Amino acid sequence: MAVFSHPAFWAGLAPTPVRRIVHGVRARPAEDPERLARAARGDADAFRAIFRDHQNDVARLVMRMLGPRPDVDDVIQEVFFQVFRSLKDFQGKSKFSTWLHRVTVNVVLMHRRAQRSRPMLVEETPQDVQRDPDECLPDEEVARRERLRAFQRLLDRLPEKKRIVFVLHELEGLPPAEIARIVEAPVLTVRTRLFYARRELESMFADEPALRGVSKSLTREREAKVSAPPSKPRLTPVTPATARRTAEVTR
Amino acid sequence: MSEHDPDARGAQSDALDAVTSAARTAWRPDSGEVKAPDWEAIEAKLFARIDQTSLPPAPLPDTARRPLWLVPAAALGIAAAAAAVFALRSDDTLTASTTTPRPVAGEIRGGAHVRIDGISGHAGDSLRIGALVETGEHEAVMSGHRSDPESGTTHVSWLLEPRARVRLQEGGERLTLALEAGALEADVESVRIKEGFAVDADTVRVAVHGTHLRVARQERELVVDLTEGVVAIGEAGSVAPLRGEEIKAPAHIVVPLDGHGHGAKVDRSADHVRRARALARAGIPRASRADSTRSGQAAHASKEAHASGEHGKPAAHKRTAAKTVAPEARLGAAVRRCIIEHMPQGSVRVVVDTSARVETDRDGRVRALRFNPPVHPSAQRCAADALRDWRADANTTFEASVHVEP
Repeated sequence: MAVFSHPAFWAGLAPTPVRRIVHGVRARPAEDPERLARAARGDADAFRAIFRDHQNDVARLVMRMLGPRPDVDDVIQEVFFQVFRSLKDFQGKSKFSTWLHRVTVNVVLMHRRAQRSRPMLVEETPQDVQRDPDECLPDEEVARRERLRAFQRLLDRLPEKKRIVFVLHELEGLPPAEIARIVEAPVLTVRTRLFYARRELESMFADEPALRGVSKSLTREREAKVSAPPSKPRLTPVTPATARRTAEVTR
Repeated sequence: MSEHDPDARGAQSDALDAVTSAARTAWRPDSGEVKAPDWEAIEAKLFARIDQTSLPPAPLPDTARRPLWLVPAAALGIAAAAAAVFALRSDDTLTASTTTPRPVAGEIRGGAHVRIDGISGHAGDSLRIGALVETGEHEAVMSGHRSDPESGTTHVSWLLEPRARVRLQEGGERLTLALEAGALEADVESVRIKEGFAVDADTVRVAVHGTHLRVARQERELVVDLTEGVVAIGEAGSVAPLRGEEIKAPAHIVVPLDGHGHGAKVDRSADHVRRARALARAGIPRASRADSTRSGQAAHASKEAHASGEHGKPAAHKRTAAKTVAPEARLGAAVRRCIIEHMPQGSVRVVVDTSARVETDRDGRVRALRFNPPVHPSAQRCAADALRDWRADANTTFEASVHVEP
């Protein structure tokens, strides 16, 4: 398949330590098997310790998969309830964090499916309600928030399987091999889904005015660099200028 | 910008990286940009649920007196549980509902904080045989049905009171609920099946003909308040209809949980019978054939007819009336009911003025619901749930103004 020979298929997929740090996923010491066994036998104290150790990991993944929504707390609670119910079946063949990721992904998917069959509730801000002065933000901050909302909308449009691998890899920083264990699919399948997820997201940028601007400005920047005097060295994809632009978007 | 233009493609890729990086920073519980989880509340609720599920199981009837058919039934139950666990462990999408082909015996009709096998349930979710249904601090309303090609169908609406727990049992043509905790109130319409609905609690069975009753499990006794119809009290787990005494309404019955249906005390004084609740007020009409067929507007309008106080009139009359109810009126009634239900209690007089606008999709289902101005989120969610099964004209918009004051 042409996809395998495409450089973007392999680009940026290496699970380097740098990538993991950047994504905020720090290596966690392996879960204490004794504590897991006690929790599996129903020891509430042991399970409480596990809950407190992993609550931020679960919350982060739930937020990234669902976006900022009022029912995030319910989903987090549901994840840990399912973990408690199924802990006795955890055999230690994979890392506990991998298993926890799998349970989290599954609970989020079930939640999304349940939500999908309910009518969407659209909240409107009445026009005559005065804005809170604290909400008056600098233009750049407003634009950045709008970009994030637009990005969330694009992620929601991605097919489920592609969205899962994109979130796990690009946002959570997990390597494809670990994602393959979480979604129980071959690594090659994970890479393929990731490749197409990126392609689809890139093509969907045009649908969101807030993101179209980012793409256009980067295109102009690239064109300017290409037409620059030949004495200058050819710019590599990651240039200080690009990094500055990235930092602006990130800030 | 062409797809094959390497610069354009590269810029798109850079833009995606940049936005992804921003999202990575912002979408974290500790970023301060999203609402941080309320860890105390999550932990308290989680461990309350765990405590509840860790309760010792209710004592089973004496093994020596347990019918032989319970052995394969138990094996089936274990197999179903194993299948559910397998789904959790091995299916990357956790499609428990698709991997456990248990027959559907009902659905949730309304209410909040319902859990089906430990997972949050919502109005419209199916209830399958074997499911454990629990309520939290609020009641929930469900409907069920069992059919037999020769005997006909039994339709049941039941209200599960707060902090109650039932399991839907396999019972052939009979819909059987095992009441493990709390109380339920049921409205039963049986076409021809004798004892088409039963409530088991430990060793006791309350087998029901067409009737309205409340069954409450107490520490050592089962208390039945029969306001309509006939019940029979006997031993739990029986396949055949009970041969015990038939008790007609009104009756207040107290049966020891360990008495295998014997030792019932019956008080026939109407004054001692707990008054029946109108299940319609809790969000459902009385069970009827029209409900179970879920025939679009007729069923929905039937809801509205009940909500407006027409409980108890023949179903045919309600179906006729349904055709004349405008969608705006139905919307207004549903929204008003939800606002009243979720009105804050206190000394402050609250007046609500809002308009609700509904958009339907090409199938006529509700696609979006907007409130302007917004009302309390719980009332909005209630209204969204109430509109879930509506059918109206396709691709249309209608609006209802709602004014509620005490």
